[in-house]
Amino acid sequence: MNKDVANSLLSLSKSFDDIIVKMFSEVEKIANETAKSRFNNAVADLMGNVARDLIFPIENMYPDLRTDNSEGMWLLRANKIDLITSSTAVEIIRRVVCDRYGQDEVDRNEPLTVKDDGDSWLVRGTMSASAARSGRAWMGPIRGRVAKFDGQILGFIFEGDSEKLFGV
Amino acid sequence: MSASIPDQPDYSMLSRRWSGSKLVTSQIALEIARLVHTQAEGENDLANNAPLAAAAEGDTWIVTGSKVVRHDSSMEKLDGSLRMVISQFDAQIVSYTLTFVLPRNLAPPKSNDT
Repeated sequence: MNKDVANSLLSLSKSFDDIIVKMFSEVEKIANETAKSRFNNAVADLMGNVARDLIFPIENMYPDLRTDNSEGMWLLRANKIDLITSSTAVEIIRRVVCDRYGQDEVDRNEPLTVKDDGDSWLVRGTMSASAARSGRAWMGPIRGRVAKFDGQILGFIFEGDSEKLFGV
Repeated sequence: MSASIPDQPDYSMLSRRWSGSKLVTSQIALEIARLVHTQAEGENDLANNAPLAAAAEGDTWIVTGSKVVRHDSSMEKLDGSLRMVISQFDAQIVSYTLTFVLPRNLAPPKSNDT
């Protein structure tokens, strides 16, 4: 198969995405649980067949045609499913602080608080004045923002840090 | 941070990205995969995927489960092994899939000649 044909076939195969999302959405409306399960599996098999027999072999044949590295995420986005809970967001920030600055810095910031901020979680340390004095002079509480959908850390800074570095 | 655009990285992350600074180690990626998968599929499925492994690929970590999967048409739900791709820069989950074993019809097609 030449590359032009491969590219065209790949594009057509991927155009099934929208149809499959709509099919899942329609199947969800079936009241009878047995029928719903049966048709859910049928759509899943269809999705699997397109991926297994068309998309993956073509992408393996021409790896440079592989443009989408977000398998699985489009389905979550289409169904408005967020992967990150508030406790997961807190744990992500806690782990990153621990890895970069050590457990002492985590302890100085505990307890970490979390606030719902639309599409993201705002995570903040609650450093007391005495805890603040025990650390680096310019290093205030941690302030992190984590996307609810995919866990992307959108902000990660110590409050004193921002004043010193950015004047905000 | 209040000046940031919602759902977009703020200056603290953009500056790290610009300097090539990565926040996410393999251990953090493994923990993110554990937390997210437990929330999505439950502790039993996480246990069935243990041990998880993280391998670097470009600027991402590929986290994979060790679950042995098979196709069984009597199951209500397709069963698969965890695979998650996580950015080393900012922990963004760029892919989250379960690797299924799909049926392949090996039987000859039924003849309609009756």
